[in-house]
Amino acid sequence: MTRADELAIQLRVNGRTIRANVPARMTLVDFLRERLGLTGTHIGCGEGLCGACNVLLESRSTRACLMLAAQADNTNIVTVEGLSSPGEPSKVQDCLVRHHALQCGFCTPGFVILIEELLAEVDAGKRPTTAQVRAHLSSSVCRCTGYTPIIAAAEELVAERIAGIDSSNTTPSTEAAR
Amino acid sequence: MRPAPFDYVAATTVEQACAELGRDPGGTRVLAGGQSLMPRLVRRLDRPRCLIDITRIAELHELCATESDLRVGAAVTQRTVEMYHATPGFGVLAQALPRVGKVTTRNRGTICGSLANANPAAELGVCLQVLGGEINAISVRGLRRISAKDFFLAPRRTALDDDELLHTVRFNRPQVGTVGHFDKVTVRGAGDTPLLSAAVSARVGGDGATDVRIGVGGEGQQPVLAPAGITAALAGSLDDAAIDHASHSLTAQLEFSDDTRASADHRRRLAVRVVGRLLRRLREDLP
Repeated sequence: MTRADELAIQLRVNGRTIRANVPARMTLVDFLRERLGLTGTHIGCGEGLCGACNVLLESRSTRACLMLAAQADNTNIVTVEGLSSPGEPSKVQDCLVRHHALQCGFCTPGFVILIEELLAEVDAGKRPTTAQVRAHLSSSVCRCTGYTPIIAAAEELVAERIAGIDSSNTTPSTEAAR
Repeated sequence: MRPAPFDYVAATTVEQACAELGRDPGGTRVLAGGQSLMPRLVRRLDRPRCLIDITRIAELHELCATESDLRVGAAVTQRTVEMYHATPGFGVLAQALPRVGKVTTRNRGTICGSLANANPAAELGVCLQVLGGEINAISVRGLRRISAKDFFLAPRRTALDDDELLHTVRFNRPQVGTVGHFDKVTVRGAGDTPLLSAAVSARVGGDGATDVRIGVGGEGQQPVLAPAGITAALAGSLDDAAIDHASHSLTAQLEFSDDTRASADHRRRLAVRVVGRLLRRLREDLP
């Protein structure tokens, strides 16, 4: 390739500032996995259909396979690695495990991202209905579970978050409470 | 890396984007959210020599609702419009937006990008036909206004020239007393490309329905508004005979095609059923 490594980008990934030179055609998911070693973001279909590559971009879920690394210049990205400490599952991950909401686990990082986005919307004042939770999760594909346990886990987390907000009656301070 | 190599330009002004587009119109593609373009690039169905990223151009982030219309700039995402406080005033558009793609693609995908890529079954094209409106296209040759009814020429083909940038779309605000309904049919549920999208609207009042509009689009048939000859007969009480006649005669004029998911005939039958169902829903809104 003649034009390799010609675009200089700077972005924040999981709170860390990264500077890199990338080929124009490198997708964000390739950049995260191959350059940064963040292999928690998976590549399923590579065409935006499956959701295994979901990441949070400015707190919103984004298909990392449908975005160029160059487009991520000056943005703030959080991958599944940034949502928990090493060796310690996050609340969302823990809840998914308790509900047996994964079998092979390939889609799980994408669902964790979707549920975190949903919870951030709850923090921002939304009160999603069961239908809205299901519509939100329909963004990703799971071939093992039949979705029921994933939806159950998401609903439990949403209900728990709403109860927490109502009992404290103060605005929580998540970065996504935009 | 799956897309073929290309140059990438992050334009900061509309003038710069137009100049880049004018340099090599056939080999340049506009990149906004990329949710239609990127799947084509990774499948190498398209191999542009250059991509122009327009999302860093401030004036293309315009989103404003006035008494007469909703103006949406080329870089405004579908999700932003979905959450916009004034969107509920735009009937079928407000109903269709939460059903466009998936939340994750709406977070990136733009309204104008969906219109410019002109998938014939896309929800937003049908909404543009029913609401009416205008496309502002800009190039080094100047600004051009294209009426909504003249915008879609064929499936995946619009009135935009290769060197033109879709700058802003304007959706007309429905008149007071207008109700509308949107529906689409998918094979695999939410997020799937529809087999067809359809929307209807009418002003409802003491004298029944007036200004009845029907929009339909699906593979083979770009989004169209039903001709006045068909909808004029629907004015009034929207009785079953009128609805059946309108949905059959409209569908007879549509040019659906076969693809791997459904035949043209299946789409025609769906169109009859869906348009009929939407018109009956409209009848329930009559006082």
